[in-house]
Amino acid sequence: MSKHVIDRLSPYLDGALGAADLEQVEAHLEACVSCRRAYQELQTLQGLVRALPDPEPSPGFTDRLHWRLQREGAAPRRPAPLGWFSVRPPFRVALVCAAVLVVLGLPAAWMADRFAPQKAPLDTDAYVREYLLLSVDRPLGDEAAPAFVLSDTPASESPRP
Amino acid sequence: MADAVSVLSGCVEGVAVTPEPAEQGGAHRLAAFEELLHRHLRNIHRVAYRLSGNADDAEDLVQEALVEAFRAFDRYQPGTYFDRWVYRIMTRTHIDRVRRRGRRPEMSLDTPVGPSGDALVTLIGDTRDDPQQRTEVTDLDGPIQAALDGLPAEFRTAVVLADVEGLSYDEIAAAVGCPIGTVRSRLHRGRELLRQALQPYLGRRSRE
Repeated sequence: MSKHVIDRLSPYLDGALGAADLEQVEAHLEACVSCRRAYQELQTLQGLVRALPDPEPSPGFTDRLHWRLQREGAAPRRPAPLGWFSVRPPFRVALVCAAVLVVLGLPAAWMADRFAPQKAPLDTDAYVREYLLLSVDRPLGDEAAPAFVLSDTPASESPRP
Repeated sequence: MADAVSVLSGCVEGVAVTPEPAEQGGAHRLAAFEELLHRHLRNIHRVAYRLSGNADDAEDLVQEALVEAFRAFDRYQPGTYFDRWVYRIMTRTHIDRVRRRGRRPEMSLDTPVGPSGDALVTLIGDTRDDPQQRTEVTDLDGPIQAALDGLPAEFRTAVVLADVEGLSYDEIAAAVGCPIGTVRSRLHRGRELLRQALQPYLGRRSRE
């Protein structure tokens, strides 16, 4: 006898088996008493569940339901949560592009900065000192004012007398 | 139920539409929702009752699911089945409630036993050894509901939607948000557990 078909009895009951499965199950049910009994029990079970009586709601249930819905309708509507599918398709494309730019762009910018040839920094300190030292020689010149700063310079760099 | 439905219908017709323009849209929205509900409340309540297992929980479930549905009513597509749309919300609400409360006895996926390890048949009464009692059982609503209550929530949902409501595999898959193969497997396992739990009744009736 072929293998038992218990696991295919439920879709068989619903008429949801493909042709090959259907043929196998029907052939097996012809020969197998236990599978046939299981199938009959499933049929009976389905018939009993279908025949269950409709329950009656308690008195006043629909009134309570109506007032609850009315209260809900009167309450200020909460804005829909901002989900992916609440965004319109063109904006979704834009969001994806922006995300790709951020994801790829940030590491690219970091790499460019990390491996770019280092430029020598402009030595502004030396320039300012030179300028101040020169301006001391012309006390009445326009450049005289910054000479006050010279008091902050270390002794080794103090202006010549 | 018919009376209850007519009460709801009366409520729908009697909706006090305030002349305030801001509120007018809300009242019309409620009236449109209740008009659909009037036609489908019986089915929705029946599914809720079979999922919950008792009248109080069923009414709480209907109310919670319908409030949720009303909030999302803008997303309902007119012309499609309203009851199936509500089932989608209600099955999710039901499973959330079961998980939140965590007190429903559920049987093992392998053998029909309750959380305490008792065979499920003890929940519904073993009548195999009592032919007299067995023949006296005419109303199987209690035992069948007890057996349904013992199923894991996902299996119970599949069986209720298929066998109580007559939904197709496609419709169940849409309602519970899972692939058709999963529906097929849940139905097979759910029905098999029910068959084992209700064996005393089924065996006798199948031979008749």
